Amino acid sequence: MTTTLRPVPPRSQRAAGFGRLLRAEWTKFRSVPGWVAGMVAAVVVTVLVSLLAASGSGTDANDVPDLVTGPDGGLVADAFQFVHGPMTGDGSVTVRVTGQDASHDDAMAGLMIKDGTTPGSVYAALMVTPADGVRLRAMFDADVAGRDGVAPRWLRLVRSGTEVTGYESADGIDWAEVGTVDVPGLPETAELGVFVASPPDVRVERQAGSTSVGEVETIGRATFADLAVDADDAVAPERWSGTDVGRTGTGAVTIAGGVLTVTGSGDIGPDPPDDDPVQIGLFGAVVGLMVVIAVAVLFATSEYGRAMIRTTFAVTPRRGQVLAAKAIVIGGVTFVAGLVAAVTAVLLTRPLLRDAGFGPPAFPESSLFDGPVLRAVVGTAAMLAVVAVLALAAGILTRHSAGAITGVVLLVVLPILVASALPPGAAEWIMRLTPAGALAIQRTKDPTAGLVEPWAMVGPWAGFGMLCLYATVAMALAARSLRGRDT
Amino acid sequence: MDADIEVRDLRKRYGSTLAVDGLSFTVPPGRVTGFVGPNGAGKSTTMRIILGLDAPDEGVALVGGRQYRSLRTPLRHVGALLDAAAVHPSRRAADHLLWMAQASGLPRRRVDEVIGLVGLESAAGRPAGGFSLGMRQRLGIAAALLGDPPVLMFDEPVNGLDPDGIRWIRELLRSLAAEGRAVLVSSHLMGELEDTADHLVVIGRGRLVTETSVGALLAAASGGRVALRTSHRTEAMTVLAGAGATVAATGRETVTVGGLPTERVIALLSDHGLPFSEVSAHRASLEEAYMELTRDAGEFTAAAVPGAS
Repeated sequence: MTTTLRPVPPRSQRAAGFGRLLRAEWTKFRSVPGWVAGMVAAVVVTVLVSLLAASGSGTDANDVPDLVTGPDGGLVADAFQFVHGPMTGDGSVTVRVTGQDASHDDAMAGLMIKDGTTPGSVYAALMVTPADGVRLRAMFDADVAGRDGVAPRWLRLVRSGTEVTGYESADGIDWAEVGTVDVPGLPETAELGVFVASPPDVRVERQAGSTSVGEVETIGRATFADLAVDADDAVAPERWSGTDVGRTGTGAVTIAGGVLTVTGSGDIGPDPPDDDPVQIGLFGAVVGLMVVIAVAVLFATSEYGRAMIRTTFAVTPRRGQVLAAKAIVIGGVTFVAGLVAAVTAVLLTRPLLRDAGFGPPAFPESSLFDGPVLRAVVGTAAMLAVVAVLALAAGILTRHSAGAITGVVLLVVLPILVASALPPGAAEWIMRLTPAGALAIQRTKDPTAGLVEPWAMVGPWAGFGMLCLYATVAMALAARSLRGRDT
Repeated sequence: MDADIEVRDLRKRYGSTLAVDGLSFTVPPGRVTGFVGPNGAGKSTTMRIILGLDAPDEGVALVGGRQYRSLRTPLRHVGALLDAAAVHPSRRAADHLLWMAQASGLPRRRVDEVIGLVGLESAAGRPAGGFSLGMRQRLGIAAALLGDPPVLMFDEPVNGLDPDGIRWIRELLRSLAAEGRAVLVSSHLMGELEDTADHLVVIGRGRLVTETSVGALLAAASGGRVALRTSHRTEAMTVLAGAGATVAATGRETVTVGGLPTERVIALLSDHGLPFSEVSAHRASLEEAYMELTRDAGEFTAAAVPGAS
């Protein structure tokens, strides 16, 4: 008892104090072998279940005849009615779209310049739509929005080298520039003309555990007048011919009294399959999640089982800081474990999935560092970490291990089960409003209702944001309950 | 910082139970202060309030003049053993002390020092779940000593210790006080404190019964009584009671006599031809003194009647 301790110097005490607390909570975590083993188990389970899911998956997306691939090698839709003639070198074309049927929100009618008439070739197009106003699109992924409004509308497309600029006007007098797009690979002589397209309606039916997707063709119709080509070397519009690009079989062209009426079906744009091999490769995280929840809850409730919390709060009376340190430690540990699990699962499942049909062109090769893939992998780790913080807060609030574990697992799993059995609209709202939607962070593709997984219906950040909101509210409630509570 | 504990007008209610009812006392430095009262008297509640774990409804508890919750590194000011079982069963003893040291900004070597102080070297690397109650008490005491604090509180530290352990902790408490620290030790068995405490705070039903030194309490409790051993117990009791004494049989052949001096007892017995083998001034035990004090103050009177020290 003769040891004397020098007092701690007062340098930046607050930060130093919290740093000490983080170290102490980390020591608490790592010194219970069961919790460390639990985190390792979460990693192993995530990888194994992902491998299982991958080995049970398959796709025939590459076996469909007449696959259309775009300039970047991915699958695209490229079907429409085209009334066209060749133009060599620079020039412009002007037309008045006098009317357009509202056959589909995304129906298109307007001007196009394209490398021939083979589906998948490069193009630029200026169009009116029933719901999205005027758009300038190119290369299946570029999309520039013009002003709102529907037909009647004047449109003008100007080619200069590989750059194509769009203009639009309500009256043919006052013109506004929509934008300029680059069309690399557009040949010196390209097909110039008017086009009409109308995408099919997608109908999704969901029943418990199964989803059926049906497509119903829609037929677009638009009328054009005042066609004028201004170029040194171009075929005059009167000698243009009609082509049913993509052979939809519904196209027709008629001319009466200077008005050109064109009907056509189909869509122009990226058309990747809904299936997402990265998401399949991360599927095990749903199961790993439950192990993480158990460990995080125990990290909190074990303090109460033996009145450990008294020692904890006697050592550090600042209870809010103790809670924050606990959250950072469990969240950080889970994030690292989740990252290891996600990277391992994606890399190990990749060859299995490629053998099962998930290869180019329907599923282009991707690197771990491609934006959406990186988002899915890091996002999976982040989602697990935030769920761990939510579970920690639930443990502090309930002080009851079994109750908190059951509650948080149900909060994540129950919405998935319920949403799987509901029609798409209701299912989507459940995914938007519950933490289960956070699983959407695992997807690298756009939201779709065409998959069994209900979380595929919401965007990656919408679901993750809602999970963060749940965790924040739970932490605030936990902090408030600690503040005044007797131990 | 002064090494003392000051409790003023403390009141704490849990639901319909008034656990502490206007309690005030002081624990001065350099002495072992016994904190005594039957189970349920409010000892543990008071200690939790001193440690800022429970909030009092009224009154204040100060450690070295400050509220516990305002201390930045409390372990350097107050060490406490509340509940020896409050250890995660799979955590190694050394790690249990390590996280406390880290949170208090204490060096790692301090952990090894306190492990040595309580004699747990050989068990430091084992999970605390396998510890006997006595070993857990030692671990809890090590935790209390970690920050080398001027104020120490031990809630029933003798529980579960073997005779060697009890002797060890008595010596430890005395040496801690001798170094000038304020030491508060609670017990529901007064006898445990007989050779340890200098000063006593006796409470019952959440109220202060008395705050006194051990010597004064013993003197008051002895009250000039006489212990008598005789083979003719019944006759002796009749004769003495007839002479105005208060008599109580304490065994088959033993009687305690109050209200008469020793010489008068001997004279009365001789006059009536009653043989006796022993007459002596009665020396009250701390246990008896305490029972007298808390006879009305205990919630659980049965629990307050201890076997022996």
